[in-house]
Order: sequence, then C-alpha cells, then structure tokens
Amino acid sequence: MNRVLYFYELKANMKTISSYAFGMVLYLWLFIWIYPSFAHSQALNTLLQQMPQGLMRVLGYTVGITHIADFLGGEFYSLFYLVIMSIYAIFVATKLVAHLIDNGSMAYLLATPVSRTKVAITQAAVLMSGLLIIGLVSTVGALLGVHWFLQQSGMNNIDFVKMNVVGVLLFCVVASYCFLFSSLVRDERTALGLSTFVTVLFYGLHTVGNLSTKFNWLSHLTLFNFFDPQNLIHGKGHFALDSLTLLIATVIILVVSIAGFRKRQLPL
Amino acid sequence: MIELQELTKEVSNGRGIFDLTFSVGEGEVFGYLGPNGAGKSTTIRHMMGFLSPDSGLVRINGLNCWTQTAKVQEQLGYLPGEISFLDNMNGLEFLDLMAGMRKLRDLHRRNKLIEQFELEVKTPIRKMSKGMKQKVGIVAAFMHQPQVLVLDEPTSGLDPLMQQRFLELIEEEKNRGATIFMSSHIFSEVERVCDRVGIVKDGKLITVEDVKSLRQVQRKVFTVGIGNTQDEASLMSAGLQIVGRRGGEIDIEIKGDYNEFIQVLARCNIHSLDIHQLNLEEIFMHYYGNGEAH
Repeated sequence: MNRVLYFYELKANMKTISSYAFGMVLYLWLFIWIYPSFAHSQALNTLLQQMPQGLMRVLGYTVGITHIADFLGGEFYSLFYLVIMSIYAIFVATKLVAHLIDNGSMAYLLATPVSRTKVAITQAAVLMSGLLIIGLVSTVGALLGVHWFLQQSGMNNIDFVKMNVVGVLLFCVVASYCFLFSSLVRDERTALGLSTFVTVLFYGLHTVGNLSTKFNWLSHLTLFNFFDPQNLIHGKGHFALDSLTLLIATVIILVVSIAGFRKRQLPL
Repeated sequence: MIELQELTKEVSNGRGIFDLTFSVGEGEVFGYLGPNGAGKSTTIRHMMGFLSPDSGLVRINGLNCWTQTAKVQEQLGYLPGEISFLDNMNGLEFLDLMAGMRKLRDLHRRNKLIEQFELEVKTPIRKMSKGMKQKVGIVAAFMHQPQVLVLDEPTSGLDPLMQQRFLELIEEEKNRGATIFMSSHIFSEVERVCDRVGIVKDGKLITVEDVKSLRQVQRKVFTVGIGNTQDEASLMSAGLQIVGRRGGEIDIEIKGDYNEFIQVLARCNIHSLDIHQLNLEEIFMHYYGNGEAH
C-alpha cells in the first residue's frame, strides 16, 4: 500500500463516503423517531400476523414487531441499508480503478515507482475504509438515536453491533467483486454494468427465495442470505462463522483482483 | 540506456508493432517519428510497462520494463500523449501527489519549472486549457530530474512561445546528461533537438538515421514570388527543379545545392520568398522515392 495515494484517495472520496454515512444516520433517526407511532398501532401487528409467511419474510419480518430492534431489522436493514450500501460499493469500486483506466489518469499513478500491486492494494483499501466508516458512523448513530429518541428501547446493543458487523462484512464481499470487475474488465461502463447486474441478481434471488418455501432453495444461491437482520438483531444465527466466511471471501476475491490487475494489458 | 529487441505486439486486427529493434544510448536525444496510428504510443506503453510484449523485450537501464516496472520508474520521467488527470484537484495538489508517490523531497526543480513555464498551479485542473494541462504534465515528468525521459508528443497544445521554452528545456536536460526519447509527428521540432531519429510506419521501423544525414538528403520547397514575366521566364529556364506554378509564384525544390539557387535568384526581381515546411508524409515519400528505406 502507498500511504500518500491512500490519504489522497480517501480525501477525494470523503465527500461521497460522508454523505452516505450521514444519509444513513438521518434515515435511521427518522425510523427510530416514527417507531413509537408504529409500536402502539395494534392494527399493524394484526395486519402483519394476517400476511402470508413468505411475504413477511420478504418484508424482513421473521418474528413480527415487538420492539425497536424488530422494526429496524425489518424496515431499515432489510431494504434501505442494502440499497445504500450496494450503491456505494458499485459506484466507488468502479470509480477507483475502471474510471481511472478509462480516462487515462491511471497512467500517472503507474508512472511512479509505486508498483501496480501497491496501487491496486491502496485503491482496495480506500474502498474498504469507506465501508468501515459508513458502517461505524451508522452503528454509532443508530445507538445514539435509540438512546435519545426512545425512553425504553429494550434493544440488545451488542447484538445490534454484531448485526452491523455482518452487514459491513457482507458489503465487503459485494465491494470486492465490484472491485474485481473494475480491475479486470475492458471499460468503466462494462464494470458498472456487471457489478450492478450481479448485485441486483443476488438481491432478486434473495427476494424470490424468501417469497415461498417452493423457491427457498434460491436463497442458498445468493450472498444476501448471509445477512438476516431480524435474526441477528436478536442474537440468533451463526455470527462468528458467517463473519469469518465473508471475511475470507473478501480476501480471496481481492487477491484475485489484484493479481489480475498486475498482469493485465493497460491501454493507457 | 533504452533497448528494444525484436519487440512485437499485435494490438488488434493486424495492427500493432512488429520486430522493433533499436537502442538509445546514454545522454542521447532520440526522436521517434511516425504518422498517427503508426505504433508510436504502443511502443511507449511497452517502455512504461502498461503492455507486455507478445515477443521480444524492452529494457531501460538494463531492467525489463514489464517485469521490473516499478524499479524502472524510479529513474524515469513520463509525459503521456493524452493528458488526463485525476478529477477535482488543482495543479499543485496533483504535483504534490506525484512528488509524494515518488518520495521526492527536494522541490527546487519543480518550483523552477513552474516559474519557467508560467504555470498557475492553483487553477483547478478541469478548468485548465489543453496547453496548461500539458505544462502540468511537463512539470510532473521533469521535476525529479530523471535519467531517462519518455515523452509522447510533448509539444502538442503548447503555444509557439512555450514550444520554444520546451525545446530549450530539452536542450538543458540533454546537457545535464539525461537520455530522452520523444515521439512526434512534427519533423521540425525533432530536427532541432534530436541526435537521431527513428521513423516508424505501420508498426515497422523504416529507418534510424542521424539527424544530420537526414537533413542532407532532405528536400526543401521554396515558393518564389516574381514581379515580371521576363524574370519568370529566366527562372523557369535556369535548370532548377520546378514543382509547381501559380500565376507569379513558382515552387522550386532544392536538394542540398543552395548556391546555384541563390545565384539564379540574385539575377531576378523577387518580391517574396517562402520556405514550405515538409510534413512527415512528404519526408516519407522522399524516403521511399530514394529507395533508401528498402
């Protein structure tokens, strides 16, 4: 890794990273703030209980709403979170490599004694640092929000943090395959297209797989299966094993990306 | 210093570079001439380690440009043909980034170059004209006083005054002992600063020549404007090579023998005299015409 390049790129992307992070916090606060009006609505819970099981799962409710954790897990982390994090991963991964190759400025980074491997490691580190920052800011923001807006939350903070850890690790994998496309394919548009396609496909499989037990096998084909916020937020699921699996997958994909980038022909 | 050995790379549908072998000695200024699409940039991409050869190799300072790229770059300055910088930064931030990545501490040379080229470094790069960007690129390529400079069409975008400054800079670097490889499609600038010239066409090296000997065989076309028909007739019959004629203006081709030409002119009433700069294609034509290329 090259320190100078790392801090330059981090600074250059800080605007994007911080707007995602603070956007996420504001959304979370909005959800936490409106929660009491939901919680006291008997009608909503009755409605939820009357829905088919599959639809419940698609909406992210495996256990119904009994406290704030269910609400955040079902409403926020099952949809908004996935969308925001996916957009970050796809766009920033494409910007950090494919964009620089497409517009030719990669030539300058490589016209220094910093090797291709180091440049690629640095860019990957910037991408992952952004994810960590967004994850950290939103976790802390959510905990503060719950503390400030609700008198009695009944939320297990440790489990909430663990859920966020798995969420960030899931998107480390998403970001790393986006980085793989960004490093290896011929141009920026292809990279962006492929990253979006694969992510939407994973999300689609996740949705359909949860819809009915008949399609349940589909959910085994998607990465998003690793992240079940409603269970994680209650301390259920295989936190350690899943985290480790996601981490190893990230490392493997990044190593392949960097090795591929090192060998590729660059039309600069 | 720079060595190409049977460098071959097919880029797409039969185009590319084929069997390029030549070398540039230490302290030499080498001009690399060819029309657009001849393979100049492809050759340079191999020197920079952006492309790997299909066969053959490029070495700079004895180091393989593909396998030891980072090491090669320590002593290399590069000016790309198409300049595009990272987004959203100003000239100084860019130069700082480059200096940082090079671990360059001594910024005297950089500041002197900025002054020399009258560069306003605080301007955001996206607001810069092509010429200004070119200047930023020049400063980035020269600021660390590299042993080897690889310049891809370095004067494009510069106004005549800055082109002049640039050619002076090349001479300065040459006196410092730097080895310079520059590509161009403008013969006159190469003629002025280079020791030797390689001419490439369709990916093949046509010839490598001393600039001096190239100059000797080079033909020049003079356009002479004549006042009266009597002088025009005597000029026409003087045995000079007439290549064109437009009412009162005559194009005369001269190859080496200027004395006779001057003597004939001295007897006539001349009201204008122009030298027509030959472009690269015309120099090639000359080369093919003389059969020296084969």
